[in-house]
Amino acid sequence: MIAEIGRFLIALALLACVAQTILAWIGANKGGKGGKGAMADAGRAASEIAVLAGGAAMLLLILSFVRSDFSIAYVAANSHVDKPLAYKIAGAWGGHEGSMLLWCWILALFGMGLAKIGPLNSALRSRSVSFQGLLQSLFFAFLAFASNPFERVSPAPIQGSDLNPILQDPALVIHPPMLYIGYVGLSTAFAIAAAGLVQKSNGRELAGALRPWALGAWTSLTAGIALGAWWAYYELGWGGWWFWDPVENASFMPWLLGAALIHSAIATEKRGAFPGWTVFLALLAYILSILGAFLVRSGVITSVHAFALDPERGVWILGMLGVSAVAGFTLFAFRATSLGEGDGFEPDSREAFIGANNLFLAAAAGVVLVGTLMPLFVDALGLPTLSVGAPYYNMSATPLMMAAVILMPLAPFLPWTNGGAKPALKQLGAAFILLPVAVVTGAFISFGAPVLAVVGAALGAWALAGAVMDAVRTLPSLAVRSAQIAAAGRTIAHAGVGLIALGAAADASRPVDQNVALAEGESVTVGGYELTLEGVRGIEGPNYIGDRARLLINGGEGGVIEPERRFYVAADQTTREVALRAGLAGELYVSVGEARVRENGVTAFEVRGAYHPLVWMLSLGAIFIVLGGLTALYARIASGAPRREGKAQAIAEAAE
Amino acid sequence: MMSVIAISALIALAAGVYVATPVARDGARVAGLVIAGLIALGAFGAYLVNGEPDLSGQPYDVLIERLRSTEPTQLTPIEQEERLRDAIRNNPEDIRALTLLGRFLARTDRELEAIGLLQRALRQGEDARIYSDLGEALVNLNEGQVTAEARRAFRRAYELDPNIPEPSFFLGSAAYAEGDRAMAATYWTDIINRLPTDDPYRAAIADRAADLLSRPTGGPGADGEAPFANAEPGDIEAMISAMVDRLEMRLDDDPGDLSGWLTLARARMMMEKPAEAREALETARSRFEGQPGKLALISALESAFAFEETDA
Repeated sequence: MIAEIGRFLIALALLACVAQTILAWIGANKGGKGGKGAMADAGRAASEIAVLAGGAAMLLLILSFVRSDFSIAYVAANSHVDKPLAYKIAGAWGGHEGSMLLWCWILALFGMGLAKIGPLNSALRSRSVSFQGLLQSLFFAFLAFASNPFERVSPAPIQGSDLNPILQDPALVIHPPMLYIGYVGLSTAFAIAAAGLVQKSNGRELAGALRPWALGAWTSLTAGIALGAWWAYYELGWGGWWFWDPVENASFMPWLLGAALIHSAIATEKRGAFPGWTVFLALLAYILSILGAFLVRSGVITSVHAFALDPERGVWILGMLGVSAVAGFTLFAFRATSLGEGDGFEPDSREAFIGANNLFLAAAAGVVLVGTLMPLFVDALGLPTLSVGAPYYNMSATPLMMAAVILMPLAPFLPWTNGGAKPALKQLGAAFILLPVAVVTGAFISFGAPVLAVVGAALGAWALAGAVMDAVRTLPSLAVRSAQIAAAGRTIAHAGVGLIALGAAADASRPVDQNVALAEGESVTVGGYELTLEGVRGIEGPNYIGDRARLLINGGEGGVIEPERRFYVAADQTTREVALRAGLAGELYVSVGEARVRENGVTAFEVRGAYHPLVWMLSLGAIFIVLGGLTALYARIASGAPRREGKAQAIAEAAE
Repeated sequence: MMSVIAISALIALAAGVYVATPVARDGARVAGLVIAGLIALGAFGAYLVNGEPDLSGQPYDVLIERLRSTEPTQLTPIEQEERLRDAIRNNPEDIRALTLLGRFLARTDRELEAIGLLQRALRQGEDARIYSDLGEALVNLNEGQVTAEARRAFRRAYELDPNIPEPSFFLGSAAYAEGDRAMAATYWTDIINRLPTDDPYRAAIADRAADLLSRPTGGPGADGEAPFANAEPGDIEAMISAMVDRLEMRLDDDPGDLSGWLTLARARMMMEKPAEAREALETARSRFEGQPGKLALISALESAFAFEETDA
């Protein structure tokens, strides 16, 4: 019964989204009292029903996982009675259908959020809710008719197939929700932008309305991507944290555009600069989010992330992508002029630097898009198979992002509109911060780092030192507390970018990984550590069996490190559980692989060892960016800007 | 079915009314009614496109309760497997369940898990049969190779109960693979001695042992490939002839070499000298009189020759 109620709730959520779209649209019109009448209220009520129905369906799906009800095809395909409870729960969003339900529910949550705390202009809010309802309707229809997580199987299997073992990991429990909040959160920026274009809203008003939503979504997307990179680093067993995998690229493109959007929106809101560009970014960022969903779920690419290889579903998502893109860009083409043109600015003003930075970020997103889609086009044209890998991205996207990092520390010191690079450089203390840059560069050169890593490290030091100077010089000079908090958010996030650049450069300079077969008593040297295989013993987990290797570090003086190799019985898959030994200078990374009997009858185990210098900077950098984003969001709330705008709007509406 | 429909109808109605209330309160009652009705009916219609209200769920608790209360003989193999897993979940030290499930999994090509279960069973208490099953699972996992770990398991099984045929057979196979034919013959003839004459294992082991022990040593075909597979047709006869001469000389020195006699008989058959082959077997038979294990091997090879003659 639970499965059928769940299936009904999805249908109800779909209808509620349709009602939300229609009622909020009617409510936004003058006849509907410009978003203040009963129809707008009904639209808001419908958005609440969509959240309740979607949330209840999600809970019922989780309950079905906990109860191991294998009469539900999705549960049977992604769970097993012996799976630990946490992963039974996480299994609810570990596969395509469940993750799509989570996606839809988050989409509905944002719809309700828009209805309750969206743009203060009532008509704009109601129309935004309507556009959001349209996006929700598309996805809930896809869920109800092409990806229903409550689809039944009869006769039900006795046991489930278990969740993919590499997904049975704490980081993967929270990685998808964070990522979806990011992807889906960008839909609100899309909805507000589209609604504003319909209403011929002013660009500044639109930028102010969509900025907090974009900032929240981008912050969550950052956390989701960082968690995914962290997971890849320690779970996939070879120590990489970024593969330029098409699915990673699919999340990175909206991230780049989201970063451009939140900066562009500042310039638009504060000085009226780039209104069209800001709205265009708001539309494009969400379109690329759906493109990401298409890449992951359509089966057009091969990836460790591609968990639903179903061309039919791909057609659905392509349809949604088409509807959203055509609607958004058509509106933009016809209504962009209504956004205003801004007041103009000097080439050495803050707007100019933000604009240049936006171009670099957007261009980086563009080359990543080309690199991601090129193999698909080549394949579609029947040309020889083309693989686009790290060399392409390092030659194209990385320099563009580096250029953005060069400008990043300068912009906060530049005045708006009239410019003034010289005093800004003086205030930044450019000469002063060149010292740490020189030291770091020298250190990387002395360690024999590759050229790209040396440049990356120099830029990381530049960004980090610039952020410190920003904090030292700017924060005390600000009189308003909310402005201080906002500036603090900026400096924390910019410092995070510097840390990531440093961490990435250090990791790119790491010593060669060791991959050897060790028998008991044999040793290998990794990053200055001598690892000796003391022994391997069998282990048993709730749903796996395996081997745990015990390696002595420097003969035991440095302790022991115990990587595992697990065989997940129901899933019939083997995984490597990496063992890490973190230190300030870097991290020792050890995994164990298959056993091989040598000709002399001695059993040796494949051991992979690596040393990742300063890898903690990557995690810390991501944490800084997320904290920076949250701080800026808090500053936005604390500033009361929306409330003030609301009052002004109310006065303006009353005057009308 | 009714409960699903009733609950869904109630939820749909409540949702429709909730959405329509602001409109109805505003005085547009008909519009409110239409909105509520459309949402409720629309949701119901969308559900019925793919809904299966008459299909009940199958939570694991309910399923396993049914399996527990059913006679094991009435269960399908998959259900039996699940029942054994349930028994182990309830009592991880249940030797019987561990052993039965281990055997079942080993027979269904899931040796890795089977080995884990059998090892767990052995941690509860030593048992020759379980050691033997463990050894077999290890052999199957390693595609027929009797690894050191498998050998340890078989050796312990043999120590605990030498009457079980599998440990002797596999220990003999391991010795044979290492080139120790005498040790292999000892293991095989020993177990043939122990088994009742009507035990099908006895004949199977004898046939296999006779086949292996009669293969030429050290030359072409020694490692399982067809004898003289790579030799030119003209050379085969000369090679066999030389080998037979060497064998005869060796048997003169060591007439207690069972493998030698069997090989000699086989070589003579290959040279199309059945009478001399039979003579070799008769000599061996008289040499090993009173040793039923060795005589069984001689008879097995003789039967194989008779088959070949008939076949020819």
